[in-house]
Amino acid sequence: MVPRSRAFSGWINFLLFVLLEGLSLYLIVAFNDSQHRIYRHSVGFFSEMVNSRIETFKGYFALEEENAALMEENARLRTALIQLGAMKENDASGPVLSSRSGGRLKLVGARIINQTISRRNNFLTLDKGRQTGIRENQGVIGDRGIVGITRSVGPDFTVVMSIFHSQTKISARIRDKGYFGSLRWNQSGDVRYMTLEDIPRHVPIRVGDWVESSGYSTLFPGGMSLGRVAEVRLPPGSGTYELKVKLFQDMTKIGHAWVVTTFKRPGTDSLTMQRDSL
Amino acid sequence: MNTVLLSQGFRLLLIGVLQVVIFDRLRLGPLGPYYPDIVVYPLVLLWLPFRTPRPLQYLLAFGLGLGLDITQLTPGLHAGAALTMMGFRPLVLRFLEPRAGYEALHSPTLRRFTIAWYAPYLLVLMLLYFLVYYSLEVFTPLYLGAILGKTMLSWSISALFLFLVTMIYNPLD
Repeated sequence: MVPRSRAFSGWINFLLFVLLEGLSLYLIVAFNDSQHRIYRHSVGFFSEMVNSRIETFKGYFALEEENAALMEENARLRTALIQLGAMKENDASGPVLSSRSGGRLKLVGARIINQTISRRNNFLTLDKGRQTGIRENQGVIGDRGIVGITRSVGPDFTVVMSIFHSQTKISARIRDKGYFGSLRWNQSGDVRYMTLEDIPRHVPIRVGDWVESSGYSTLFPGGMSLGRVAEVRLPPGSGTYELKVKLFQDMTKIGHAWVVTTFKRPGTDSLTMQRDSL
Repeated sequence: MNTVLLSQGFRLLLIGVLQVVIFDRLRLGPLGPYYPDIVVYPLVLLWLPFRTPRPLQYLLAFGLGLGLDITQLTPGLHAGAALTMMGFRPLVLRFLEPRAGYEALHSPTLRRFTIAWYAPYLLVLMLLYFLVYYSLEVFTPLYLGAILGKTMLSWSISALFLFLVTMIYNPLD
């Protein structure tokens, strides 16, 4: 008789083999210290891996929430930053702001959900509205400069007049020199540059000078960096410069903006009232 | 039939006691991670007759291995190694199968075959045994070098004793 010598002939035999192998593995892990630790470690490692995968996956669903939270936090931090800047400014130039308290400032973060930059009068739409405290004629800033001014506010959306709008005029000054003028878009279609006008010709201006918000407005806090002078032009017969300013803020890839919902410099109210009554 | 059982049982007891009393206490070389384990008890399993039912082979391998494990306080290590070895025994037998085939009543022993048949049969399966044993002992593929080193060391030194016991005992079936 010649038996066929096949490994694991018959599935019952194979099952018994596997069962006993499993039993010996179980015994090894259950009763041997070092193997038990290695097993625990490996299992821990594996479950860790699975868990982190799951967390990553869940993370995608939480991104929206996360984003909102981050934006809120950003708004708070930005507020603190600007207030800090304003306080420093007060120290440096007393007369500009009479009080050292800096003033109140509150920002509301919003996502830009629509924007035009190619027209003569450009607008943006924000995904926050009246419910978050946004009103008409409030300043909108981006992370590297000014974005525009709110025009019409709905319950959930806000339309913003972009800085690339023929009627937008931003009060700006040359940093460390104090001379101020108004920044406007010359409608050339180039959204990288704006023009700073009304700086008198006797002021020494160099290419590369920093341009910042002047703070002479109730819309924007002062001292926010806006851009650098890229070209100095003095039109013949004119008493003021025409400065080409390269903006820090790239409006073509901006995703978020902050609305300055509360901005009161000390004394502003009374001054405005005086002006209005004049 | 009864004589077969008797002789197999006697063999099992004798070699088992030899293993526990002598070979487990035999310390060759310095203690440390690399001292050879001398294992001869799988001879009992390797000498089982060809006709031994597969499940019985597995149970015997597991039980015998576990018995040794209990004396060494390493539950599962010898059991797993012996079981794996017996699982692969038919495969090795098939490779070594003579042209005339095997006699079902015979056993793979030195007296039934030649040393040229017996040596590869014994050495290949014992190599597998040690490989599985040390894999289970180290229990992580990170130390593959240690697994292979220990395997080769114990395998080569145990081989001497395996042949020694074979020659002394030298059963027919």
